[in-house]
Amino acid sequence: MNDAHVPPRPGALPTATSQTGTAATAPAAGVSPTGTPPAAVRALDLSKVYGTGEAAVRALDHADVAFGSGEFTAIMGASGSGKSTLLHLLAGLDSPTTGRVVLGDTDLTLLDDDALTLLRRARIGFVFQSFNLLPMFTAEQNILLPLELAGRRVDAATRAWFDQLVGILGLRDRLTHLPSELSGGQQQRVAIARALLTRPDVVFADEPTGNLDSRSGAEVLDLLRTSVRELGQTVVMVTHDSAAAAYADRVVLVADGRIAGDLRRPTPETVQAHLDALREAALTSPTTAQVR
Amino acid sequence: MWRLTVAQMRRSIARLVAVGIAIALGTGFVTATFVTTSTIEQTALAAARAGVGDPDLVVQPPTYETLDDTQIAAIEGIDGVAAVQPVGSSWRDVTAGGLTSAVAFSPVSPDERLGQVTLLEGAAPAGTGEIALPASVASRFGVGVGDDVTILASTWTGDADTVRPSQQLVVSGLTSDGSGLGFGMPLGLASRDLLKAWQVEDDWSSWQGATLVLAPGADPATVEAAIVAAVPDVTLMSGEDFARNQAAQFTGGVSVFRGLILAFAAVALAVAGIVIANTFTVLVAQRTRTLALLRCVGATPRQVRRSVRLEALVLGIIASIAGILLGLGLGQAVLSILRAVNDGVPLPAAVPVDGWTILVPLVAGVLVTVISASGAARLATRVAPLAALRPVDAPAAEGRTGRRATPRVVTGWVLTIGGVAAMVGAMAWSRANPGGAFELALLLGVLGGIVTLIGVVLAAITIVPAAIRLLGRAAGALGGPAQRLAATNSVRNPGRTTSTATALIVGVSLVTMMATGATTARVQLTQMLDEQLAVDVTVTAPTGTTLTADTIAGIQGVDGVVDSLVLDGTNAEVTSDSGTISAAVWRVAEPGSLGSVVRTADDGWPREYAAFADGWVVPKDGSITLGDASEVPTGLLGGLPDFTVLLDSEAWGHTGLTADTSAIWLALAPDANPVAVSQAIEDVVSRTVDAGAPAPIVAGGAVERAGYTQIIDTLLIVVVGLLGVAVVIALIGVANTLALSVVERRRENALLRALGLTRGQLRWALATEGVLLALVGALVGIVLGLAFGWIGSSLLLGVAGASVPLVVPWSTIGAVVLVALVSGVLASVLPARGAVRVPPVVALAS
Repeated sequence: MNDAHVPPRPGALPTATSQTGTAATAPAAGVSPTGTPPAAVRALDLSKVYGTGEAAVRALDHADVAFGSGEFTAIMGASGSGKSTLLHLLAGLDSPTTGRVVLGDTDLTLLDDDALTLLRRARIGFVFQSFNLLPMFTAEQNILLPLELAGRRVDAATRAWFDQLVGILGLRDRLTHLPSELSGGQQQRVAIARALLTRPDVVFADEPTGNLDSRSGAEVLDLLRTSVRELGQTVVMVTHDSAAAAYADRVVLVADGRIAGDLRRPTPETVQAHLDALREAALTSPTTAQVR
Repeated sequence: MWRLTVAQMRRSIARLVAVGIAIALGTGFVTATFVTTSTIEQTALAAARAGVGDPDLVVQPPTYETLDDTQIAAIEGIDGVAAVQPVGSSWRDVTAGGLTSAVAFSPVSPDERLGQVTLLEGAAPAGTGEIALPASVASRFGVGVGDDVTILASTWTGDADTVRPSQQLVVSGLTSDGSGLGFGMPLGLASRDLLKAWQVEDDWSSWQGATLVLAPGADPATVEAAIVAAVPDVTLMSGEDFARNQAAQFTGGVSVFRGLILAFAAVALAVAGIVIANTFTVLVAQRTRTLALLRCVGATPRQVRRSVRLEALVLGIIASIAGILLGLGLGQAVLSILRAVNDGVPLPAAVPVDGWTILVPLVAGVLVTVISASGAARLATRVAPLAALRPVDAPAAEGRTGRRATPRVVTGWVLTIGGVAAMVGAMAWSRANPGGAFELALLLGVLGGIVTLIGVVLAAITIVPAAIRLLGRAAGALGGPAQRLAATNSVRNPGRTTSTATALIVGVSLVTMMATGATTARVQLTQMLDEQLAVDVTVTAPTGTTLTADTIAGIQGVDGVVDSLVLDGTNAEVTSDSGTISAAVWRVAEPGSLGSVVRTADDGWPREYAAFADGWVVPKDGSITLGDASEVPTGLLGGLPDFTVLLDSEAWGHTGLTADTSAIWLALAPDANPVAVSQAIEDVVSRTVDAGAPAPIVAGGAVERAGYTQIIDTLLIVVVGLLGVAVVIALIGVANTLALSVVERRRENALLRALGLTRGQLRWALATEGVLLALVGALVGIVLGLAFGWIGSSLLLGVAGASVPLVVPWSTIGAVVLVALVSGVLASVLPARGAVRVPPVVALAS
């Protein structure tokens, strides 16, 4: 795998991090010489409140976190912890109540719907838990969808990149198939190819292995890690599976709408230990860590 | 089940309202038809009543016979008869202020219960010095009560050069227009004495009947017996019976008219049926999980089916009632406007409502709804209880099917081919036997058309998706990603797409068929009328007189007259192979300019003949003898006024005839209103000819021709308007289908939005989908309609084996395509609003 195909990552903003980690560990492999990778996307004092008055639910509560460029980060937390809300806000799919989201040097909270849509199209990739693909398009059409939406032609360089991705993801024989003719794992691989095609600043993955058997799940996680290690891609993944989180370079723990932990070079065991600690804390002070 | 059905309906309220509108339009149409025809019948009856007054008895002579003054006097003399009003009128030309008008005068009634005519102003005329004029005539003349007018006798008392008898009369009153037995014909009033004098003058004294009132206390039976004894063979009936008879004669055609419009209403309801079937199928599909859950907790398939049927029944009843109210409201609104505009016509104040007006649309609307929904009801019973346990999954694409040779499709194609064969056969047959078995060929053609339409509807699943794919590819190539997305989306659900377009195909094909037929008939009729009425307007001086230079200059100066040809000549005996007849013989000084006013002679003096004559004079090209000239080579020129011979100057010289009469033939501008121009010419003639002098006669084909083409155009507008209701209903179906697609593709659209589809692109994609759907329906309908229209008109109009030109009604086709385009976009507006509101986050929900 040759890095020459990967465009330089934008890193215009200062790289000061604002991790409130509880267990800062050594930087992961492949980061910048300064020790901390430049941030691809940052959440600044981010809050999200659903509903009003009595029914108001604070899904995210003044969260501050940055995600390093070229890093594979997993966001973990119990269901209702706010991890999905965080992902939606980071990806520009939803707007925060207060606070800012900065992608590279772009403040997403300043953009209107159209600008946000164009930004997603060009600079963000998505892999969802299910329903990643349009049922009426073939695998190839689904992979090329971002270009189609942008009205861009498939030039020679893009075609070469497409071929390379298809090769890495093992989809060469499946390109003319409709999603209904693909297995769950194959569908997820098509989604990864689509997410990587535009070489986005960040790929967001939301429980990408949630609907897969463990073998297909491992395959998908391997591919995501490969895209980071070998293609220099930035990946932010939400999961509640500590084994899946262990594939990442770093794990950010979310609880009760706040960043509750930051773990580098995770293993399934260390992740589980942190989760257990969080659960313990919630049980001892149920008022601050109620399960929503 | 009731509560469940209501709950289900409440959840699908938007969808049901849209279908309800389709049903309501259909039933409203039926109601409006009944209301209109009932109003016509009532108005006719009211007019007939007004015309006959309120007599105790109406006396009618046997058919083709009349009553004379002696018989009227005999009836008047019978004991117990209080007053008798003879029925009838005399025509007189009335002139004032240089204008002339023919007016029919009825006798003043001796009893107010026998009045036929309403006085608006002034008093009824008394004696022989007064008359009452219709208000419209008086206002045209600019005269009022107390002014003088001149009455001209209808005949000349001596030779042509003597003056027409005239008398000066005072206007005693003004009568209203439009009442009386003439149904709108203006009637003036004159005293019995004056009318008697006129009848002596005309050497004619007879009445079409009489009305009478009995003296108080008289025994009707005795009086009737006395009348029959005095005047044998007369028929006696009450005033009410007489009015009903009169009205029935007038409205005999109304029931045919009602049947015809109801046929169009049936088309509209059938189209509504397709839309209903479509919508209910999708409603059931959307409720699969609910239905499955019901089945899980113990609902039987019968209960599920009954729930869907009940829903259709409730919808049908509510929508039909709404439609009936709509029809009544519309009828009432039109009636109120008409009442405000028409003074004299006895229109009812409120629309007449009888049992049929309510019952027929209600039953038709409910039946169509329930029957159309029955397929969906059956579908609902097939939902397996297990479906409730399956996770909500992405809607699977139907794949690339739609070409399967199901029995339905095979039947459809067999019917289509059979129907086309029948139509072609009918055409070939009528070509081979011109004139023979016309009805049979027409019947076969109509049958073939209906079978073809049914066939196409059945086989549409193989036509519509293919057409959309083709059109979609073009749209995709021309447009951006939104168009390509729409092209793919619009064929994803071939079944639904097809039935949506089918509703449109039915409506559009019928509209196009009628337009094609009418346009063809119009072209054909224009050709025919050109041949029969080749001269637009002729102004002929009475025999023995000539047109003055003033008259000619005035006529030539009338707006709308583009060409004129002045002729002089005389009446002469003309002998040809077929005998001797009297004809108007005209000298044409400049033969080359004949073509400018005679349509059939568009090359000028068309052939090498010295004379031309119409078909009454010479049955075919030949020769004639007239005056001193014999064996004049004569051509037959169609469309000349009857009994006309045209001679060139040389031939005229040989005849030795003396010209004592002149005429002017005129060609009107194609865009001129012939009625207005003719009226203007008549006014010029009245102004330039002394009152009392014999007036030149204004005649010609322009008015008649305009009348015919106007009838066709009016009929076309009415029919297209009626069928247009079916098209509107079909377009509601398009909007419905789009809205359902948006609901189904909620997650999909959210995914696209997450991946970078802008709101504008999403709106455009839906608009394109709507346009594709509407356009394909319209195009297939246009092709079918053109074929039907051509075959139908060649069967109907090519009776004599004449070839019928294939006319394309471009304006109608253009309008249909435009409507399809615009409504395709409009149909997407509301669904698109819902679609863009779905946040992209929905795509992530598991």
